[in-house]
Amino acid sequence: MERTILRATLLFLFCASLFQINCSSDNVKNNKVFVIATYDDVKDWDPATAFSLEIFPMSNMYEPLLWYDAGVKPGRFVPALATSYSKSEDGLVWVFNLRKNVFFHDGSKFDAEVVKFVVERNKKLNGGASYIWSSVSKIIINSPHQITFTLSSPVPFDKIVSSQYGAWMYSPLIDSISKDSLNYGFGSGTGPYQLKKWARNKYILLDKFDKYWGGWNKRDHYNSVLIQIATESSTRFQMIKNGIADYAVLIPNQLIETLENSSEVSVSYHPSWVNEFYLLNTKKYPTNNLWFRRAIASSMDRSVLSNYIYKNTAVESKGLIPQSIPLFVAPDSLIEFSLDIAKNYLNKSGLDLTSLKTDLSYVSTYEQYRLTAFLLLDNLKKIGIDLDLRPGLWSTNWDKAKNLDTAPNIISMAWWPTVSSPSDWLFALYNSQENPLFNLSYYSNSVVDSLTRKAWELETTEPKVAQDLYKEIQNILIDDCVVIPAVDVNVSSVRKKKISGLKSNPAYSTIFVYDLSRN
Amino acid sequence: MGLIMLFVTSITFFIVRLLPGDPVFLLVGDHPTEEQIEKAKNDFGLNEPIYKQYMVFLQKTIMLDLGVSLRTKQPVLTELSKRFSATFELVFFSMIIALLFGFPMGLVSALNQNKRLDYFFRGFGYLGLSIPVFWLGMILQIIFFGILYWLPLQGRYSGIVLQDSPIVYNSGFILIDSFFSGEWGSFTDALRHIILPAFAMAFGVLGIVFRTTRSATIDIMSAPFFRTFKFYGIKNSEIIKKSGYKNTLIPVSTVVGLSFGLMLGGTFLVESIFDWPGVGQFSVLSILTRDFPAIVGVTILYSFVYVIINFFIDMLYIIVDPRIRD
Amino acid sequence: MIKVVKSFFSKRLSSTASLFLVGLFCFSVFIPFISPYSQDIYGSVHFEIAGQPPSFSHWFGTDTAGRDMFTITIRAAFYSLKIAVGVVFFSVLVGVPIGMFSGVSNKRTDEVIMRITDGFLAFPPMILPIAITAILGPSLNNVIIGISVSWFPWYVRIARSQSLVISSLDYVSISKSMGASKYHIIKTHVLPNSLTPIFTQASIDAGYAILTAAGLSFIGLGAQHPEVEWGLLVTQSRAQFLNHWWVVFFPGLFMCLTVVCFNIIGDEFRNNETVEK
Repeated sequence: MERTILRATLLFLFCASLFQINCSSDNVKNNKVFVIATYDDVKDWDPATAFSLEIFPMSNMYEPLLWYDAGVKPGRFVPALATSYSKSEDGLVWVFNLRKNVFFHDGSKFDAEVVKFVVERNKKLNGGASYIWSSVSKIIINSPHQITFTLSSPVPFDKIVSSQYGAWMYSPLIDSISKDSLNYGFGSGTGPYQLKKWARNKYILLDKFDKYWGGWNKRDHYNSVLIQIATESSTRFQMIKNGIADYAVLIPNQLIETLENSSEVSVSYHPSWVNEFYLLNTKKYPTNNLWFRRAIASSMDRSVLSNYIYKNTAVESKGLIPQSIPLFVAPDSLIEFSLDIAKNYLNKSGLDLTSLKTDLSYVSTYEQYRLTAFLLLDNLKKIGIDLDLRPGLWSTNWDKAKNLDTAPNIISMAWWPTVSSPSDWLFALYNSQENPLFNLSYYSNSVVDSLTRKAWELETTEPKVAQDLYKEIQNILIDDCVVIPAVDVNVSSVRKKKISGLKSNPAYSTIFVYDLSRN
Repeated sequence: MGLIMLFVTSITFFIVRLLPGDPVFLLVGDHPTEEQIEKAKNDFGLNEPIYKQYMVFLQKTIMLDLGVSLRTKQPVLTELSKRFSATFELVFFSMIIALLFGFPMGLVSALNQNKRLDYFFRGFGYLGLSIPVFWLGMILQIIFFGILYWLPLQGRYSGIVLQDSPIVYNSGFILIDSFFSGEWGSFTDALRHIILPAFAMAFGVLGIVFRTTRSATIDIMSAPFFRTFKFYGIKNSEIIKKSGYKNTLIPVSTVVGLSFGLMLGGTFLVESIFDWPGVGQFSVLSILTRDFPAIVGVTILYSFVYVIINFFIDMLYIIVDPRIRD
Repeated sequence: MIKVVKSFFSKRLSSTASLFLVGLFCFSVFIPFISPYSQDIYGSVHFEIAGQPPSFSHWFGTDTAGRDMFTITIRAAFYSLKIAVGVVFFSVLVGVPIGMFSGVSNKRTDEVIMRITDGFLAFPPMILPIAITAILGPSLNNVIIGISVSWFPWYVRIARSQSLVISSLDYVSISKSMGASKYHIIKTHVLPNSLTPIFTQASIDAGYAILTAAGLSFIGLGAQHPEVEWGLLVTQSRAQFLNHWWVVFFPGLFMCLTVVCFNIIGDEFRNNETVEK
């Protein structure tokens, strides 16, 4: 008997001690530190090749020649390390005037030599997004603060230098650092914050760079940025809920919903440059039949997607590219939802209607894809088509899709650009590819290929013509029914209410702490 | 012993290459170019003929070089050792809970055979055996996180707490490390994280421990020495408390050993639900992403563990049951 | 054996359990004809009524795609029971003959067969089913194959030990020395007397098969939509389960109850087994 009582008491005390520490440790978080809760760590500290989540620290440590502000309409370029620029009539020669009295975190000076060094080094390394520099054929240094680029084709070079990947200007001292130390955390940029400490898979600490050319008296700035790595979404959620984090990345919808009535946390949705769509395999039966493809396209109910499945996390697509992309233009029409018309198309297809089967591959970890797949299955069933669902991880799905034998008829896709132009989608997804990389519809149309090239090269000199060409290309793709557009994704911003200065800019998937102020 | 391991590992090596899908796409980022893909393939020797890959694999394995995980880019050996301690900690804790509750329940049940308490406990035992562990885990999450907000939803620790309190010892077992470092913040944090997953896992084993204890105790109660004691007027519970329970140790420890082995092999459901960074979750993700080195590494680990546990059980039999020794 | 079945039904607990299983099975067969939401079983979705808690019109609520939880939970019983029976059937069909043969054969053959069986058993519990379903492709039928392949060795073992025990009995040795063939021995002596332990294991395994299949669905290697299976339903609820407890609760509850029933039945067989000894 005594033993039981003893046990019970111990158990009780044990439980009590746990609940005492309900809210997380109330460490003195100096409120000059801006805390970001993110889901994964930096994998590559080299600003030339980094291509993923590195954007968070790097966008605060480095600067490009120009920023692109897509948060205003129409979008515009903002001088960063280049104060002004001009281009020749034919768009092949670009001259940039560089900002004076700018220093890197390690003390070296920023000038034209540095720019040349960076571009050449990026091209040589050929990793990450370095292909954006492929059109550069000659670099001439006119003076310490003026540099001329000669291009092999008249591509919109200002867009290229404002990319969120592969366009950072970094200190030439990077060469004296061994490759290993790049793995241990290295960073020397011109940006407002510098790398203070990196604890792998734990956190990244950035401190303010006193000598930043922009100065520190624009507002009540944050002195440090702490990027906390918490792989579990619920931990990030708790961090923002308990006030430890100021900003949280990738919080699942079921948790966001509980923040709706919070007094400290605000949730808002902003347009991004990510869209989701479904590619139709033009080389595999039965989707190799044009009318069959059109029948499937007519069975996709986009209004259900935006009203019920995505709600405010996305809006209906109006074209093959997100509406917020510069030079966006809608095609003449998208195929609208109508099951009657779909049945019509089926009859026109000439296929044997008694046992029509097709399959759809989607990313299993993404709930919205799953619900869309269910919706499509139901609608296709109503017109007599059997849809086989093939959920899987992206790497497996992608791998299977690249081989015609194992490829699905329909595949879910999401795309976001490296360069802010409609051509980014067109080159990667719809231009002819011998061995498809992302052209998973196996579509090959030389007209589309040449029009895309033409439009891309006319963007700077004749944007209106380029835009018309983009419209024409989309019309062709819709007519050939290569793709079913779904939604333009919104990015959710989950942050403390008392932060001000947060602006929406879909061109960069990050947050610029320098622009924020505490209340 | 070694033969079994070789057999299992080699079969895995070849079977894994039957899985549809090419793991090279794990290595390159989201938007790679053709050259980057070819380069990755060559770097990892995926272009070599299969028998060559096998030879290289055998050589490296003997030297304990299990290669690098294609998915996480970390050496497989490091990953496995980190994760093994996580899984082991979880299983160990679950075992403690299962014993703490199952053993006394079994004794009490046997002593009160066919009375209401017995039926109640037996029902509980049935439940333990039948309950799907991932369902139990999710229900616990709904109750203790969703509704009550008492315990964390997932994970082994809140990364931020660990950073503030440096831990001196480094056994890989956070509970032990933080306990001996005197870091109460980390200790309670880790404890709060381990409770739900451990309980979810323990429930099933609890059922088995309970039953074994109960039936072993019942068996003892019909043994001659027992009846002798009863004849002298000593109560059932007294006899059990004094010496009877010792005889239950053999079957119970067998069951514990086997369950331990089974649990180690079957943690992936709990680990997925609770995002516990253990071997189970790692092995499933490796299979799903065709991460060859990781899959083979995991198989080696599991067969090794299986062999060790069998060995220990055999040893245990010899130690505990003097009759076998003769 | 007949005695066992008789005593079986005289006990209240095991007869309730059997009744529950049979009832559930029949219900699951007929539900497509009775329920107003029967189309949901075949993949019909209604997003306008998605995520509703239990109510009079939807007893178990609706899931995130608007399907009626009651209808699909009951229907899932059909598939889960199919898996249970399928797995046990194949495991027994393949494992028992091998085991019995092994038990009555000479030492050499026995050794070889047992070594191979041990090799199979050396794999950690879920690895083989996962590997097989990953290779063959996820579907209910492949789940049955995958689990059977990894479980039949257990039956080899049980059947073998039974046949060893029995074939060493006096009257059987006499039979052997009189020239009876292996087949005859198995048929007349071993088989009838091993039924009970095999049935015990089979009933318990039926329950575990359901749990294992659910685990496979959880990873995505089991049943696929629009098939309904309890494990699959629980998995599908994950994105919103904190706000929609009913989508998790009911399928799991039924899974639990079904497995409990199988365990109760298995226990009953086991009790009779001990009695027989």
